[in-house]
Amino acid sequence: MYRTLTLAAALALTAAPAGAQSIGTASQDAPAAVRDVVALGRGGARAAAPTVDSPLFANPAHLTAEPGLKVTFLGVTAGAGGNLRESYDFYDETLGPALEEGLDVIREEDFERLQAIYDEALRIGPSQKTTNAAAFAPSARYNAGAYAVGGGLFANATTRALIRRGGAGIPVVDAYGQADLMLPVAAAATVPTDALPIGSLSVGASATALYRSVAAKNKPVDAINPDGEKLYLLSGSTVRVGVGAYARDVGVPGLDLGASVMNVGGNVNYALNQSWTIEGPDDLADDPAEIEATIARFEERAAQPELRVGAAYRVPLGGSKELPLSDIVVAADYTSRSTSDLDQSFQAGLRGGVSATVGGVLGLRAGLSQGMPTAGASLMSRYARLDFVTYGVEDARLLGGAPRRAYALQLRFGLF
Amino acid sequence: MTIRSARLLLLAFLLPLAACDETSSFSATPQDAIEDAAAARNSGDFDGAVAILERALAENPDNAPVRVELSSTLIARADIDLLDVDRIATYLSESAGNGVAAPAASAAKGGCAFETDPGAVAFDPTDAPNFPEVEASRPDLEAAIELLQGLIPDALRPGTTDAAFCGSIDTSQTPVAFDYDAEAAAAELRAALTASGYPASEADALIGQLLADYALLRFSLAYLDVSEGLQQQTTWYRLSDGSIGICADDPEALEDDARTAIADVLEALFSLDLRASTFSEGAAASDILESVTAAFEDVRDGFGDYCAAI
Repeated sequence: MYRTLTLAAALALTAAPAGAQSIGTASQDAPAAVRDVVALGRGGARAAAPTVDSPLFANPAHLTAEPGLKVTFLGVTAGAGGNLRESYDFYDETLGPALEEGLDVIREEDFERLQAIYDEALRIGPSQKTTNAAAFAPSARYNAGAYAVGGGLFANATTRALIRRGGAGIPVVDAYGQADLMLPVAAAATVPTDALPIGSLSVGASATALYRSVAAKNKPVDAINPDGEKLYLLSGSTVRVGVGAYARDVGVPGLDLGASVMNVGGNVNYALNQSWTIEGPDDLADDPAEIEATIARFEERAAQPELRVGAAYRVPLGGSKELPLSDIVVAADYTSRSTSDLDQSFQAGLRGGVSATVGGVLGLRAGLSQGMPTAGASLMSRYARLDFVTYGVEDARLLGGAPRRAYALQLRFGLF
Repeated sequence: MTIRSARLLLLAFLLPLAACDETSSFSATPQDAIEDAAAARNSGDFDGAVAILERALAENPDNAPVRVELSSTLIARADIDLLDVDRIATYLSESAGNGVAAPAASAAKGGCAFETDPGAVAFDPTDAPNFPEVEASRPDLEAAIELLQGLIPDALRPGTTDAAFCGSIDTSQTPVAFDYDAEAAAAELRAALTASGYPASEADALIGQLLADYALLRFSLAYLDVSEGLQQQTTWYRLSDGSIGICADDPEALEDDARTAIADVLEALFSLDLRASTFSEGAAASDILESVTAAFEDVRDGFGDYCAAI
């Protein structure tokens, strides 16, 4: 038992990464998208406020927002969330030394200490610990005026780990990893609006070829076999499509509206891709029952279309030479995308905030997402940009149930 | 546009986004309630989690997943877990020499065989270090087991006969064999959960949780019953061979008195076996089962000769 606890502790507290969802319930499949760090700093609002990534992942009509050619040659994003630091400290200061010493020895010599370690693990464990990494291969978009096109290649990996209380207080390890390879293409066109009080209107559509791999371990610690435990990588592919509309200067100069429906398409049909031995001999046979159960669990997660509507107001500065500010945008969105295992309330879908550029090189953003504050900053040049964001994610069904703070840093090179 | 009007516009945009805490909202469905209770429990709010699930149970009295989750939450609130069982078992199996003096009344009248055994050391079962905590949690434990009673298949209830005590376990086999219809019991449990709309792919995990909880409850309550709830005055001994001996003025009355508690431990054993064989297979799960089986045999044989006529 104590050997198993040791393995479980190592799995849950040293194993890295995490995404957003528990595989414990059959809910929504994760959308085919990368984290939009610029929009997240503004609370996540982007339906009517274009960003570098929004044309391919949030609203394809945004392709017409800026003229000419925009290219990303290379980029990387790294992010983390939840109580990762607290978990590391617990492992470094308490659990790690205890494992070195031997939990069975502590059990015999100091039961109170073992109980304290156990209680602390179950206090820290239930909060999700997440990591995210993304790589941007070349992507480009070109706006010729009446029409615009774009496409690129993206890789995105997320992982999540937590320990929850199972029956009789037996800890359950719930770890999940997901890696996506995405090839989105999009096209947009401007639409005549002579009869409408609209400055411009564009519509767009996108299609994303998605190749997704997932791995998960969701077991009580006493069911994890220290002499023979395997991890299974399941893979599959599908295509997701989306449509969007983007109107500028609607009724009032600077007031923009946007709407999109993304992530429409089939579920990923998974099959076993690879298996690794976590504990035990290298030639350990696969467990068909566990593979089947894991596939069933993922295939029950339906791909749900994501509706996003929003408004943005580009604050006119009147060409003031005194203010170093430019591109001030106030934006708000509603998205149907749930960040929990179950559907969330209307309030949980609200995003909004403000962004501005200072001196042409420093971008600042602040906002509210799911009732939690967000903030972001960018250093920008014509050929490179560095973005940082901190934002809140609600893991529970109701706001305030399981709030989690996340951070992400992104570096990309290109022609912006 | 003036700065003032820009501020007003900003407020108009952002005020609805400052969504307030919704956690006091009513859960719409049993599954919502389970999710909301899990969030409350994970943040340490056990009373809040119990309240959410009790409301859901009042609306859906036959919903099996709600009953299981409420039972689990009551156990968590009582802060009773596998380590408590381990601690009691460790206390019972402590080496001779750490025991306490036998109560005089019992030792004097009964003609107890262990009284003159130099290797036997009397001890008080209520002196387990965590006994006060387990005893104080009895109301929560009783409420928790009441919730699970209707869900446990009859196959996991072997009864109180000597034949059940002695004939339903075959320790000559490895692993130990238990005589009950595991397939039927598993099917009945799965049907109960899926009838409540619980996802089929998740049912086995919840059943594993249910069975572990039920075993913990049965074992803990049986221990409370035999250590302080028997009508007979008993004296407990740790014997030199590591087993337990129990004396009373009237051994036959003691056998009858302890019969229900022993049957409860046997139910715990069947629950753990079904969990280990079907729902949470693993080496450690089997280790736990082996330990509890040994404890069951010790206790059974300590209280009487149930197997003498079998």
